[in-house]
Amino acid sequence: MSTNTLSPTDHEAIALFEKAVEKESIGLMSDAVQFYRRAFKLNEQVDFLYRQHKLPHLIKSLQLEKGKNSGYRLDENKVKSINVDTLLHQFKQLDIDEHYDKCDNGPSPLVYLPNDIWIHILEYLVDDNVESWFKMSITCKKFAYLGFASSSIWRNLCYHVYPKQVYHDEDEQIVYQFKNDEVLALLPQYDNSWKKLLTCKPFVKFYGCYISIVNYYSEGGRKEFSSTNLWSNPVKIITYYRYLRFYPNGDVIKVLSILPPTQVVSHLSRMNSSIPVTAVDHPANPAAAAAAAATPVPAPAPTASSRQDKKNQHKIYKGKWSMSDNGRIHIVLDQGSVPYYAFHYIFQIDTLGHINKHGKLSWLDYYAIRKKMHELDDDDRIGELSQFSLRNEKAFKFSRVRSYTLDN
Amino acid sequence: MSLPAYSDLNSTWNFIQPGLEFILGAQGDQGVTSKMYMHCYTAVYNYCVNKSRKSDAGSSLASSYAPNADNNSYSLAGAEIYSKLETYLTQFIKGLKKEPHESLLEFYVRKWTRFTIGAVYMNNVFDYMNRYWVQKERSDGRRDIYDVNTLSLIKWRNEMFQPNSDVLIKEILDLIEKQRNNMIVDTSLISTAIKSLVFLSIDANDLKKPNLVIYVNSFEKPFLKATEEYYSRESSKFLAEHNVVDYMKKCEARLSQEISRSNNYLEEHTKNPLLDTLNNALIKNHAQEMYDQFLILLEQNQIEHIQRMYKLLYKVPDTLVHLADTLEEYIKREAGKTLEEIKVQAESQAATAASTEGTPGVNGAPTRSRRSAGSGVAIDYKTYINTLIAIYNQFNDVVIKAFSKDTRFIRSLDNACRHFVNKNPIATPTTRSNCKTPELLAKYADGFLKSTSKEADILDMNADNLMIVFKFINDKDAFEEHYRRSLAKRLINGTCKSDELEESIIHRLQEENSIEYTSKMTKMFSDMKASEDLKADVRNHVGENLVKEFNPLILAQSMWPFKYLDDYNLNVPSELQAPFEKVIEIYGSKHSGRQLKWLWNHGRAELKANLSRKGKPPFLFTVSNVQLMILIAFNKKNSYTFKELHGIVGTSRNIFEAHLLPFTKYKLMDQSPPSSGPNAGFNDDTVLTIVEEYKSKKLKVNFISNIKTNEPKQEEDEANKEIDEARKNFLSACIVRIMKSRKVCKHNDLINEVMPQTLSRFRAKPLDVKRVIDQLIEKKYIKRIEDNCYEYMT
Amino acid sequence: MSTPKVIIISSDDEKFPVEQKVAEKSILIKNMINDLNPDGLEEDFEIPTPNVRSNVLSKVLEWCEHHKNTVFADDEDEDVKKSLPVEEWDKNFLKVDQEMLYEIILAANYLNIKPLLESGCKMVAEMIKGKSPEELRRTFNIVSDFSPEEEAAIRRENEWAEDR
Repeated sequence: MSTNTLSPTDHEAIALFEKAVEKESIGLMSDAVQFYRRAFKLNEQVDFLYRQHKLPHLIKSLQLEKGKNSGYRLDENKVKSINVDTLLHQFKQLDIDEHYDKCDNGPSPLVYLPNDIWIHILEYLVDDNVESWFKMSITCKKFAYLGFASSSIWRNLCYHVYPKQVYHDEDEQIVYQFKNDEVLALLPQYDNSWKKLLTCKPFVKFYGCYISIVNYYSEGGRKEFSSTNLWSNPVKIITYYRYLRFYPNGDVIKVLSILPPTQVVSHLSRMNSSIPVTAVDHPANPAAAAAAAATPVPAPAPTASSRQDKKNQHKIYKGKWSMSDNGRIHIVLDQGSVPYYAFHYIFQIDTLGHINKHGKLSWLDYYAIRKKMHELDDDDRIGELSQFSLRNEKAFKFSRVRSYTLDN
Repeated sequence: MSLPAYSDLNSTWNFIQPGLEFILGAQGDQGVTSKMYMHCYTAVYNYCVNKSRKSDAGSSLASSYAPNADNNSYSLAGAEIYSKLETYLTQFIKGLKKEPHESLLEFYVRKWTRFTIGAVYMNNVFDYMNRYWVQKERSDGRRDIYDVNTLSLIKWRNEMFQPNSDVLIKEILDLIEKQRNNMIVDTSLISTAIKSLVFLSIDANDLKKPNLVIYVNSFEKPFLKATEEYYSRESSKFLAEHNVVDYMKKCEARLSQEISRSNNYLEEHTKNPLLDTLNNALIKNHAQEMYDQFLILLEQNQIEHIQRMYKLLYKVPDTLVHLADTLEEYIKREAGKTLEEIKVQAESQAATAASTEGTPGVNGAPTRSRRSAGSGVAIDYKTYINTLIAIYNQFNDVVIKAFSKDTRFIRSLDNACRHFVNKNPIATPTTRSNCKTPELLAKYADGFLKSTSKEADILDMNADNLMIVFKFINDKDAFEEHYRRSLAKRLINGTCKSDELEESIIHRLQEENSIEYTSKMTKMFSDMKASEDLKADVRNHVGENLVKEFNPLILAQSMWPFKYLDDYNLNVPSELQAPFEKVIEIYGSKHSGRQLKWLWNHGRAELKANLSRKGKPPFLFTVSNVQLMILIAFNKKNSYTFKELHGIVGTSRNIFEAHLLPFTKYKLMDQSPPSSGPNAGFNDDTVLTIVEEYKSKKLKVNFISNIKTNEPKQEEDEANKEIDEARKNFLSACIVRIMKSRKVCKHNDLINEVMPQTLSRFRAKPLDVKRVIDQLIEKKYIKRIEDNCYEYMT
Repeated sequence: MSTPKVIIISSDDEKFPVEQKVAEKSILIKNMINDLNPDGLEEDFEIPTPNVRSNVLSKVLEWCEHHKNTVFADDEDEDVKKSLPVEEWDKNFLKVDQEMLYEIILAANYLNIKPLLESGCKMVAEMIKGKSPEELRRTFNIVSDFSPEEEAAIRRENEWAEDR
């Protein structure tokens, strides 16, 4: 790797490239494309430069933070072949001292506390500061064994998670929640393993929000009128986001917005009624404003509501959620963007990318039912169901938000 | 002794075991030192902790575990020691041997006591394992892992108790039976053994929840059964050899013994079932014997024993029903007997007193007989009512003292009284006759309300007694009628003893029945008051010449029981007319549209007669209105012929004769020709002359009381007729009201609706109702339609 | 006659006489006193603690003495215990080197002094909170002994649970 000095242009190119990566990571595709284009305009080899200059630093700092295994190119096959449970059990046999006969300073004496005590400490961390539990457990084999293979840790997690879920029965008539001993009663169905229970039984996560990113392509100009427009107004990518946040008492809030997560997530709370709009129109995306006026509205709704929609775009709508035994969530939004509709969303909790259990909500159904507007309303259409297409919709992914608590 | 290698299960166990022997008492009573204790604890601790710190590299157990069972993998330590402990406990308990001289129970209690102490120690020695491993297992749903104390109890239950439970329970029950037979037993054996059963009942799911399963099934059920058998035997045997009163005493003793026994060593849970069993065996099963004795006790009035019986039977409340019924029947019979006796007595007295019938002019003869048609001799009302009251009081006493005012028995008394007050040999001599009690009671009331009664005679007569009997009378309307009549007489004759007393009685009658009930009486009083005012008015206008004191009484016809009789139509002489006319004038001016008729048949006058010897004050004659007119005539002339006199005075001939007779009889007038025989012997030409000087010892002479008319009899008939009329009217109104709202009604339904509405006034008979219905049909208020129905006709 | 004392003997045979009330902060000692003296203490009672050295024992007894009148939250309620932060005095008391902290926690566990054990554990937890894995390794002086594949596999298997 050559270490030629970089020109200011190069630096700028690299900076733009980095920006593009960032935008891409939060799903703002059209912004990302713009930045990429600008970066490559400045330097055709910007991706190579980036990997050369920036990456090592990144890897280094990552290693400092996470340890020597970070930034390492993995042999994926090897990874896939590891059965973690078996692996962890092997650690049981190990003595932590094995690694230290060569070192002058052995590990801190605290490490030698009896396992019962360490598990107690880890349990405490699970309740109080769950990331610390994970980080401590990933430090070495001994702690990996204690932190990941102890049933009581997983038990604590189960008791954290399941009593807060809101279930409905088969006919969706009765809504109920588990009491602690009812959670215990679930255990036999999962081979008496708390870990298996948590892994297999779907649940809704409350310490963050679920985000669905939809990018769709719209044509810039009208074909009929000028062929030149085709050139200068290429296909535009419109990005919009759907946000969902769940609460343990059955509340759920929903926002539909073009604002990216960085601007939305901190305001996403049932105590707010809308997302504050500071810079609605992105300078990079003048078409977004126009697109906002034509934001996808459920097909059968009359055009009057599209104008309303512009105003409603950043409104936080409140609804109620409940789920079935096997992870089928039903959300009802009684007061939605259209006054005479009650909106119904049906999702299935799935695994995100094979790894993140219960981190994904897949769309199953989306429809609205006409409401009775007031006591004397006897419109024929009350109770009518309007089906919406799922063609353009994308699944939701869970995103952890540190600042969320169960109260805000 | 140095501590064992912490990773070695066997050496750890070998180290602990001797300590456990001490702890559990296998080494006799040698004490456990703190050193021993700590060493055992430390050995367990070391083993558990270090096993969890460093795994046994050579242990093959770990890898044979199922891959995804992440449960016990790190502290297999707990499981191993736990299973060693289990085995040890089982062996230990099995190894306990009974001494040859002691019973199984003694052995059990002795060993149990030591064992439970040891179990607690052991629990503490194994505290570390309890704290961590046992807790974890149970949180993961393993309900068959227990803390060491509970484990010990379970082992005891399985190895010691269950194999021996039959013999053990039997020995306990034997001891209890011995105690019941008054032998001295060691109750601590019983109480400890029973307590152990409570400890042995363990709910696997919730170790903290108290549970009595073993206690109930192994002990309580057989205990209750044995108790029942024991007492059934004892009670039957006892009753065969002793009388009921002694039996009751024995029951009381037994019951209190059993209660103190149960407080001593039985669980709270058993208390009520035990009482039930006892009550059944001792009381319920022998209720019949007690009922039989009850009658005897009643007859002998043994209040104390009756109370004793009541208290016993009260424990099984169902048994009291029969007792109450028996009491009721008894009261009815006794009342009937007593009244029959009185009747018989009166009849025999009347037979001997036949000749003294009709003694004139004497007030308050002790046995005023009164003939009642076709039913033999009548009864003195005082005796009758007093008897009724006496019977009531006698049994009320019993209810209060022996039955502690228990409502069931109050009801029995009330039912019985209601029965015999209305239906007894005196009141209803034949089945068809109307009850005489209301009438007699009215007389009773009159007795103590009128001023002419002697205090000595009316000693026990008062309003309270009156109300006692009044409450039970069925035909309250009859009472009202008779009472009102006597009240009317008291009022117009001024013989009310005390206005307050009268008013208080009316008030009480109101309370007992209704305001409506006394409305007529109340009106009568107000008529009297109104007349007072009128009297003052009249005096002002008329002044006092001939008539010194004129008391006109204006009486509302519908309220007062008086009738205007044509026979009494007399002529008022001119000198007397003024006040009479003034009254009519003044009254007429105040109340237009009302008609006034003078009731000459009522009321009286006092005449000053200057017929005395010289120097003596004039006589005061008390006379009737007719008599007044007769005598006034003699102011003008000294003698008249009968015909003349009759013409002046007026009235019918019978009346005139009857009122005239006393004058001749008491020698105020001479009759010529004189009478012969008992009859007056008046005819048109008889000359009547007033004497110049009247001879009488007293200054006041009463000529009224000897007037003989049919009036008394007439009055009685009238009263009954009034009552009947009133009832018919009431029934009519009732029926019409019901039919109006129902429109159509079946015959039976109608009867069923009418009957309750009459209850507060009288007992209606279906036959009476039917008669009224027929009348209403005639008058076209209702008509008969098919199927025994009636229809209201608008 | 003064009230009987409890004499706790360390593993190196040093004797620590203390009031019964102080000693009974240790449930182990409390149970033992009750079990072996059902009628109450009549004379001084010696208890050996083979697993606790004198320097540690004296520190632990210092804690017991300070808290001899403290009433602690109900033992049964796990949630209450967990949510309470470490009391100020305890925090200072436990500002010791890791070796001593280790010994104290061990002793508290052995002697069954729950509140002290809790405080100790929470102190360790505080040392862990907010640190990255590498920082943690430095704090406790441990070395990562995974291969990269092992670490990646373990992460993938378990990291999602953070999101609970």
